Amino acid sequence: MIRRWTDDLALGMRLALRGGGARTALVRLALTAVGVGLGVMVLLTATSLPHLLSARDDRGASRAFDETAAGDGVDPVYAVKRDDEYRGRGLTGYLVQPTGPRLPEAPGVARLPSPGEVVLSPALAGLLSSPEGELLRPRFSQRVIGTIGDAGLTGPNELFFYVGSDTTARQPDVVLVSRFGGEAHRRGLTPIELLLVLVGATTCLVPVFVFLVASTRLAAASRDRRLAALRLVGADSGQVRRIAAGEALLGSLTGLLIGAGLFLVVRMVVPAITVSAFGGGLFAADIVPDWPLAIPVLLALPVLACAAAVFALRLVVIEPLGVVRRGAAVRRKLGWRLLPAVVGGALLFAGYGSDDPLNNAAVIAGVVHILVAVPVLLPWLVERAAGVLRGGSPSWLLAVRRLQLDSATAARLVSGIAVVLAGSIALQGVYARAESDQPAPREAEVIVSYVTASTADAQALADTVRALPGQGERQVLVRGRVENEAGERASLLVGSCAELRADAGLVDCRDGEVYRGGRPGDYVPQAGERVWFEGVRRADPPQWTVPEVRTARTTGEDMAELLVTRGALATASSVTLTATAMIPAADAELVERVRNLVGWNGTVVSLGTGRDGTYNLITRVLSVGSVLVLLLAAGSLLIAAWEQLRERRRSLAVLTANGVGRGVLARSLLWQLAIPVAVAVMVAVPAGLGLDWLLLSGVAHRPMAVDVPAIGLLTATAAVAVLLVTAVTLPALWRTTRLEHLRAE
Amino acid sequence: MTADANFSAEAASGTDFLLSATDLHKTYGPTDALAGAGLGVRAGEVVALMGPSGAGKSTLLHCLAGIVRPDTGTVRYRGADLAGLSDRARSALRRTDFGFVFQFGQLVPELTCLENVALPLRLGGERGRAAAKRAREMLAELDLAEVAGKRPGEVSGGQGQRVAVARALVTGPRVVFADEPTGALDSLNGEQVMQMLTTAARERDTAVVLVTHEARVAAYSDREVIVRDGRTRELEATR
Repeated sequence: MIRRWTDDLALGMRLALRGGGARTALVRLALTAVGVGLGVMVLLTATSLPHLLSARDDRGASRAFDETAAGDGVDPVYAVKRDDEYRGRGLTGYLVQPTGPRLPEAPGVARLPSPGEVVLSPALAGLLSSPEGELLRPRFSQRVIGTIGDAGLTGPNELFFYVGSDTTARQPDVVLVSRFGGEAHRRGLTPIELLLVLVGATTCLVPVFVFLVASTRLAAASRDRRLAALRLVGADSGQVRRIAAGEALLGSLTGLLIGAGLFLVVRMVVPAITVSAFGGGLFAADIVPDWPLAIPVLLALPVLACAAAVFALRLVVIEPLGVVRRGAAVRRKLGWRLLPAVVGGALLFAGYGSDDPLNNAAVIAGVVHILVAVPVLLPWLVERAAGVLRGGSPSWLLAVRRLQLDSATAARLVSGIAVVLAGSIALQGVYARAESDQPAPREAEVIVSYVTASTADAQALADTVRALPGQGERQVLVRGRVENEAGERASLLVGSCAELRADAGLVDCRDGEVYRGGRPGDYVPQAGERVWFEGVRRADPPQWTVPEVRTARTTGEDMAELLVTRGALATASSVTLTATAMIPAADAELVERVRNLVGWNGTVVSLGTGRDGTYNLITRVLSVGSVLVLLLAAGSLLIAAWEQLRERRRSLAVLTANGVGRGVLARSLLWQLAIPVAVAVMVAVPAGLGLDWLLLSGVAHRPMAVDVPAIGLLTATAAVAVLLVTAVTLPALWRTTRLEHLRAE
Repeated sequence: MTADANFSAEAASGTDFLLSATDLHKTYGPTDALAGAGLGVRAGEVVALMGPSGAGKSTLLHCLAGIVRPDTGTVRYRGADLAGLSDRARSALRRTDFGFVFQFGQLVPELTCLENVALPLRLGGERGRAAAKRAREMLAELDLAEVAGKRPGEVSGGQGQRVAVARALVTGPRVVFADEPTGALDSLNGEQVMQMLTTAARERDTAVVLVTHEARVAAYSDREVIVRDGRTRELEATR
């Protein structure tokens, strides 16, 4: 039994290599293989996502500060995380200050830097050595003592650093670290990102399957003749089906290999195309399929291809004398064709109220059902549309009659385009919503904060910022926080009397005095109270004894609990203050100069500038994917158009011999493609908009967004695809209509 | 001179017929292809079905071979009613007991001549090497060894038909059905094919049911049956 089956499959595979002439056989084999290969690639990539996300989380966690670990045998380092930017790209790193020679080990780093030293990621080192990194170099003037290995990076293009700094201990949020590595903080996709990925993957996969089916139909007539010949010499109907499956199996197995190859290519190019996304790109090593999920899915693809080939024979009776097609006259039923759409809609509605769609199988199944509903409904719609059309010009008449005779082929051809359109329209809506969710850029977007060790330093920063072109009137606030023995905290606003008057509305002021600000009830240090500045180890003696706090009249808003003149801090042993200025982001060069000025002793935070790289990547990949899949769908259209010409070459030659002009035949070909595509667009647009609405309102709980120009563009692209396919098919039409095709076999 | 040879039920039940048909009716739409045709074929006998185009010759042959089911009437092979056999059993019959030679050979164009001849053996479950050996022997016996590695498209029409004969005989069938086997050949090639087919069949005691409208082809038969308007009449004079 098993040998019988394997023999039949093997015979089918041999016929696949030779069927219908070597060239056609190879074309069909190649197309099936490409179809399966693309599907395999998409699936392998999609099933790699969970591992990819967890691997990134693990990488991030491996360098996190473990504040709980005891420092046995290790001298802890002061460390603080710094987020910075350079021309819109994020830089991240740690400022570290060793407390002894036995440094803790950081992942991917041979030795943590001491003050004046730096360890850089390869991408950051590359940027610094390139002309593009000229304005960044002042921030990394330290001696480079090494490069961070892959183990210490979340992505190959990540701009990461360890800077040794003797001011680290005084930075806000500084921690004492004895060990690197902590619990991974799992960052899943946001609902919008997840929807983009889900709709994108489904939109890619369905046309791939349609392409696969189209490729198995190539040279179907010669395959039918071949199978009939096999029946004549004694193959039973089960055997011919197995042989037909065997023909598809070879292409599928080749496709598996191609898919695996394409997946490897994807892994290779991913680090290059994800430069700024996901905070520094993706490591190829992290793109590993989830095998328990991937293997069944991968094995399903060849089975699916074989099933498609066998399914194609469902309306065909292969008899020894030839092939009989049955059921052509049976009108298609609408009932069951509505099922996927209804089930899909119900599943998406079931996702209502779920805040975690990642685990919501209903949403995934719903999206797939809605997109699958499009090719399921199309044959019924195309049949009905073709049925109501009436004759007009000869070319129109020929096209309409042809469609009435066989609308299934036409519907099959355009179903790929319809799915791409529906999916893309839904995606455009989700894009549009995601875009409108982005914070709007603001004029004054850059906040400069600088940690100073003296009021003189703070004054120097203020003076420098004001010295920048156009910054003369900028407000520079110098702030600080102090804490008493009991842990009560109060904020300070420090400045000259003129500055305190301007910033806090202090009416009467004398240098060397401290005034009470804030609201009644706030903690205010008493005269003689000894306090520490924030960020200073409590083991050190208090740095400042608070002088008498005077009550003052202020006309401005509450800026701090204490308004401190510079002279009042003269008695402090040391101070930790933060000078803050706001500058416009419009001048990118100026922003970079300010960053350099601030150095690692301060932070410069941009608000609302630039778009998240991850979002950019997803939208770019999906846009490119949509175009590629549309091309694939157009490819299916082209294959089937060629195949139809081949099968009808004799009747076309007869028409030519009877005086039907080639122009008429060409226009007829155009109508034959355009009518089903028009129906496909009419199905795809409402389906896409419906999906968009269901996804946004039902799942993401966001108002619906429609990108009308994008829909117009996609529809126009479909129309252009029809024109292009017609144009490319014309040479084959001219060849087909040669009169020598009138000759009998 | 012809005699009414419409086959009677009594005759059909006779045990000396390997293959018999009685009172076969078959319509295609409004057309009566067979209207009570009958025939008996003995082992090793070459029977020619003759008649004008559209007379029902090919339909009768297809019914006899179990390819087409008659609307009414019975076809018996070695006493068994073909109508009672499943598709699988009839396929097995075509593979083991029947052979076919049609006008265009019906060879599988993708396979070589050797593979074509070995195909019924392979479909019957015979191992590739053994099937190839038997196919090669058959081709050699029919003087076709030189075309073994060629595909049907690479050999002449006459050679192709002879390969089809080899394929029909390779399983050692009891009956070979030949539908206009020389219809696409010139007279010389036609003679060669008929000579080969009838000689090889007689050597193996294989019956041949031959459809033709050419008297010179029918001359190779032991008995001629005229088919007209879906009925059969046997030519009285037999060789």
